[in-house]
Order: sequence, then C-alpha cells, then structure tokens
Amino acid sequence: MSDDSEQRPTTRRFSRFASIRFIVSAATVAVVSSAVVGVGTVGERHVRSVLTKEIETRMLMTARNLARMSASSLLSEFPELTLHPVIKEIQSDHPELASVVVVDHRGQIQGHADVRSLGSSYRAAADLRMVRTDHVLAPGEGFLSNPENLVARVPVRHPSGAEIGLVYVSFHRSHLEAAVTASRRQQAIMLPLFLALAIASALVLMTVLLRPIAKLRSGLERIGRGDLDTPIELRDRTEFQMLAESINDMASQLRTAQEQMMDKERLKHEMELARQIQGSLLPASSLVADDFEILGVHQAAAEVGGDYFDVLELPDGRIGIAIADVSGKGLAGCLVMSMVAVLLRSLRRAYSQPTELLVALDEQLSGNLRPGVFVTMFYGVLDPKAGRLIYASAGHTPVLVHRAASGEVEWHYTQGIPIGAVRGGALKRTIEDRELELHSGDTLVQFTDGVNEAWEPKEMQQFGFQRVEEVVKHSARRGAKSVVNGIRRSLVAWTGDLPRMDDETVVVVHRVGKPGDIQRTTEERDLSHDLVEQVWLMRESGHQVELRADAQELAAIRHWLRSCPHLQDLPEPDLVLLEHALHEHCSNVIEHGYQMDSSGTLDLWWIPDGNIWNDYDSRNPELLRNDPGLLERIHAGVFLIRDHGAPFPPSDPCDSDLESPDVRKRGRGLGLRIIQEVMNPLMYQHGGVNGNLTIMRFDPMQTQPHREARHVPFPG
Amino acid sequence: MSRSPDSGIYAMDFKMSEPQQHGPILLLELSGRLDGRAAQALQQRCSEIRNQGFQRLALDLSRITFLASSGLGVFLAETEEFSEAGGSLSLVDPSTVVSAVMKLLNVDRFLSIVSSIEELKSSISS
Repeated sequence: MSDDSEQRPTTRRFSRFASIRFIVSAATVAVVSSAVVGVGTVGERHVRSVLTKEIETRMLMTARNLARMSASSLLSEFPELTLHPVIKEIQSDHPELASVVVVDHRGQIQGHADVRSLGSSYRAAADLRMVRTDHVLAPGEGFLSNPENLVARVPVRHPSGAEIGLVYVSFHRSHLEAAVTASRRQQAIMLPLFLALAIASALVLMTVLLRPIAKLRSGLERIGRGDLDTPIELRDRTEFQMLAESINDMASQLRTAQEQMMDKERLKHEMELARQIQGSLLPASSLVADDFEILGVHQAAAEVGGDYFDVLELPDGRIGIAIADVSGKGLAGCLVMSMVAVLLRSLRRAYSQPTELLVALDEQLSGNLRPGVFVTMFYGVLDPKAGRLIYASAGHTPVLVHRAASGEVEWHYTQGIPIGAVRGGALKRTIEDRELELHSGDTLVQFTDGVNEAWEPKEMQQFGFQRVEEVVKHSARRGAKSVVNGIRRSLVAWTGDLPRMDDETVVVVHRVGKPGDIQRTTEERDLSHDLVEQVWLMRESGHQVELRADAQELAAIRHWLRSCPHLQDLPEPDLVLLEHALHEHCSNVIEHGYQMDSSGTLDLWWIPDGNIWNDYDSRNPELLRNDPGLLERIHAGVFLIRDHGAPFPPSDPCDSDLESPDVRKRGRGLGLRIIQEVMNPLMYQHGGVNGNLTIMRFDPMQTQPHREARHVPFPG
Repeated sequence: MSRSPDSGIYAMDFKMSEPQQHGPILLLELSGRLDGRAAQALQQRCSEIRNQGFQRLALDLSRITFLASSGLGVFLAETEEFSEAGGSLSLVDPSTVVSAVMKLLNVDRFLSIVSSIEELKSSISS
C-alpha cells in the first residue's frame, strides 16, 4: 500500500466540508438584510404618514387664513382685485401647491392665480373623494383626494356665520412621493454599508472563536498517530476548553487501557514461557524398572505454579524420585524451579543419601532465593532390586503408602522444613533419611499441595488427604496409571469448572504384584471410566425420553417404560417397581440438583444388554425362538440418566436403620433403598461436558431381595 | 427423541376425601399418585387431625396408583406419631402398587395394615 492510498480517505472525508465562517457570514447577511429591509419598509410607511399629516396641517392653515381674508373681499364689489395678488403670492411661496381657488356662493371663481379663470364656474376633478383625517375640522371643512392631488376645502363665512364661499387649496402628491423616494435612497445607501460591516464582524469573530479548532484537530491527529502522552494545550474560555479537557481525559484513559493490555500480553507471554520451561524440565514418560513402575503427572495451573517432578536413573540401577513445589508462581516460580532441576541433575551422582542431596540443594539455592521464597521437596532413592526406598522430605506433603496385603493406607509424616525457608543450614537439623519397604502390589503416592488443597466450585471445602486416600484405596490394585487417572478424574469432578489455582503434581511408585499374588495386568484399563464412555456412546442405540424437571411430569415414566424395546412384556410388578426406582432417582435430581426449578430437563435412555455387549441382536426376534434362555436375559440392560442440575452427593441409606422408631419417624432415606432394591446403581459422574450422568443396571433375574415384592398379585 | 407421552390413568392426580367418621375411627380415602407433593399434603392433614385430638386414623389406599418413597415415609412417620399420642394409624386395603413397594423395602412389618374398615372396627371393639 502506498502513502497515496492512505491519504485518499482523508481527502474524501473532507470533500463535503463547509466552513463555519461561511455559514455564519451567510446567516449574518440574511439576518442583516431582512432587518434593514424590514426596518426600511416600516420607516417609509411612518415617514409617509408623518409627511401627509404635516402637509394637511399646512394646507388647512393656508385655506383657513385665506377664507378669513376672503370674507370681506367677497362682500366687496371686486373681490378678485384683492384676492388675486394674495393667491399669487401664496402659490409662489409654495410651489408644491397645485392650485389655490376662492369660489363665491354661486360657484364662480373669485380668486385664482390665473386671471383668465376668474368669473368662470369652478369644476372640481370628477375623481375627488372625501378622505378621513385626524385633524379637528370646523363645519364645512374637509379633505378631498385623488391620485394626483390632495385638496383642502374650507368655507368662507359672513360675520353672521352664513357660508358665502369656499376656499380650495390643492397639493401635488408628486411632492410627497419625491420626499419618500429621497428617504428610500438613503436606505439603499445604508444597506450595503451595514452588510459589509456585519460580514466583516462575523468573519473576525468566527476567526477568533474558531482558532482553538486547529489546535484540537492537530491534537486529535496526534492521538490518531498513537501519541497519547502529549495533551492538547488550550487556553480558551469557551466550550472548546471543555472539549479539549474531555479529549485529554480520553487519551489518558486510552493510555491506561493500552498499558493494561500490554501488561496482560506480557503476562500471557511470560506464562507461556514459564509453561514451556516447566514442560521442558518434566520427564515425558513413565519409567519401569524391574517390577516397579514409576509414573508422574503434572497439571499446570492457570497461572503456572512452580511444581516440579523428576525420575532420575542413578548409578548401580537405583532410581532417584523427586517432587518439589516452589512457593512462587509464574515466571519467577518457574525460574526457581529450573534452578532446582539443574542443581538436582548435577548433584544427584555426588550424593547418595537423600538428606545429603537436599542439604546440598539448600546450600546452593538459599543464597539465590528472594526472602519469602522457599521450596518444599521430596527426594527418594529407590533400589528396585531390594524393593527399598530411602527418602527425605523438606517440608513436603506426607507420603502415602498403600499396602496391597492389608488394603490399608499409611501416611508418613516428616519434620523437615522447606529449602530456603530458614537460612544458615537449619534444614540439616530437621531432616532425616527414612526407609520404606515396598512389597508386591504396594503403592507409594507423593503429590503437591495443589492436589489436597483443590477447592470445590463453591470454595467451601478442599479436596483433602482423605479423598486422596479413598481414590488410592480404590485404584492402587490396578497400578500406577490407574492411581494417577483416578486422582485426576476425582480432581476434575471436585473442582468442576473452577480454574486451577495451583499446579497439581502426582508421582506414583507401584510395585507390580507377582502373578497369582494380585490379579492385574499392565494393560488393564480403568473399568468405571470405560463404562461411562461406552454407555454414553451406546445411548444412540437405546430408547430415550426427555422429561421436564417437574414432579408431575414423572408420571410419564411408566408409559415410556412400556414403549421400551423388551420391556413391553416385562411382568407388571417388575415394571411398577422399575418405575418407582426411576421416579425416585428423578425426584432426587429435581429436588436437590435442580432445586425444584422446572425449567431443567432429564433425559432417560434404556439400553438393553444386547446392545452393549453385542452378545445378541436385540432387534432380531428370530434369536428368541432359537435361544429360550434369552427371554430371561433380554429384560436386563442399563438406564442412562442425564441431567444438568447442580451435583449433589447421594445420601447413604445405611445411615438410617429402620429398626429404630426415631429413624422411621423421620421418614427419610427410603428413595435410595427403592433404587438399590430394584436396580444396581453403577456410576454417578457429575459435572462432565455431557452433564451429570447416572448409570443404573436393571436385571430382574439378578435382583433377588424384591422377589417377594414381585409376587404381589397384580390385576391383569 | 420422543417427548413424554400422555401418561393416562397412571397420571391421575392425587385426591384426598373429606374425613369420614366410622365410630371411633376417622377414615381418609386416598386415590391417584401419592408422590412427593401429595405426601406433603397428606403429612399436613395427618398432623392437623392429630392436633384436633383424633387418635385413630385410617387411610384407604385401595385406589393409590403410585407410591413414592416420601409417601411411604409419611406412613412410617405418622404410624410412630399416632402411637406416641396413644392412638394408631391404619392402612386399609392397600393397592397392589402400595403392597409391592412396602414389601420391596420390607417395611410392612412396621405398619398396621387391614383389609377393610370393618375389620379394623371389629379388631378395635374386641
């Protein structure tokens, strides 16, 4: 991309740009013009009215004076002799007067500037009309008007009051128009002057007022280029000052957000780096030596903790087993961890006893650890030939040993303080070498506190040593992998969706049992896990119903059961009991899992045995005829029930001994008894991606305790 | 995927009759599905009757089509409550469904079960 193409959008953006100066000047011109024209029009009307009134006053006074003077003249024998010079003088003094006429009572002209008119009859113009006036008029007085002239008429009275003649004073209207036009011309000269003044003022004012815009624009362009550190400096008393402050605030918030984002990226990068370092230091696979298998797993926390484990081959066939937990997290913890790893690998051959090695590590590390940073560590040396493990622990979690012979679990606690916790060689005085004999089938488990301190989703309870023990008891028989998987699965179920707060590391040392001693093969897989997986995959071949999590809805279970393959011909008592058992499980889910929220759902699948084990094709009726024994087996199968409620622990009905009246009075705990009498609950796996899965096996031939119940005579 | 079908007569709602006096015995006839919600209602009615001072209560169960564990729990609990109050709770003519569930858990031994109200009356008078 060239610069040209980057510039183009900017140009296009301003192509419809209209200057505020232009807009304001145009508006000023419009306003000033209309103001001047408006004021001019009103002013002209006013001038015309004032002038008219003034002219009328003068005409009236002239006519009255002439009428008074004419009274005696008209009574004389030759009135024209006195009136003619007077009128002539008046007209020469007032050229705006069109005519001045004195008429006697017969209508003959007795006074006129033109002597030729004397003696003739007076004829007023035909279009003269009486007009209204504001002047106070005596009887007989009046104003007449036509487009050319304005005429004042005043009667001439005899001293006795009788009217003996009339005076007409006529005014040229063109004189009035000339005066008005003169005033309009003045206006026409004024208007451009005003306009020029207004435009000039508008331009100057706008230039001054809009000066900050340039600064704002350059500031915004600077921000656009990514410079968020230079604020817009503006000294202005208008709203632009507020705008500039807002922009500066915005830029500073942008800068903060940018910094946070960069920090986050840096942290993410650091975490990734830490994860890589950690991953590169951990051994990749399990180790098998003689009849020992040693397996370690590590699950990194969201924030990469400082867990570390290693399995090292030592001279003379011995094996070094280390597991450590650095108190710091992130890259810092990881760097300490890598120091531990490097030191351990270089020191392992120099020190044959675990205590010596841990003390040597403490001496080397202490000087390099920041105050408050320490490392808990277990180090053991296994002699696979002798089946003996010598170990020492620097403040690490206790060692768990499962004895195959007794099925019991031993916890071995030690007194050692963590590496780096107290300077000056204090570690040496607190740790000691311990010896453990591992017999056939025995299992040693060592883990970091991320395991026993894992919180459940409500963060009310930690996983604890007791649960680790339970898992080991159940899985130790099947080998190291089974223990590791068991612990991991239990932790996943325990923590749910909660992000891991700490690394979880488990190292298992298992001595494989001799053939016939303890039955187990190395390939043996975890059955329970496989079962859930297998049943889940098989559900498609089963028969399903979806129910709303509403107690009322559960009445549909019986009908559904009757529609299930092979269950149609199940004897009525079995069906009734089966319905009751399923009902009890579903009501438990509705009550405890969904907390009576009826918007949830329950999915039930019936998967006949034939579908699971493929020992017969359940859809082939021919088979039934050939194998009569199949009819007995065909009603067996599993129910898979799925819900999405909160996981809840199933209550133990053994807690309630019905022999006790107090227990009966509580009337609780019967539901699970019904389920267990009718079916064999196989698995309850909660919190998985598919929701909570319950698997229960139904086999009417196997469930002996309810034989009597099955023989209750049912009608039909 | 099938939605739940119409559940027919088995979905019959739970019903509880008005108490009927049979001599010293108060009889409640129950019918339909005795599930969790119905069990709550039954429990409440039983304790009301106890609080009103009645000592002998009989529940006719011949038309119960479904018995949830909570319903069975009420039978057990109220049997104890009535006997503590010096009275008794009797279950009259339980339906096959009720019998099957009781036998399944082997709890019929803790309950007083009679075939009819007449049998109950005669056992009391004797």
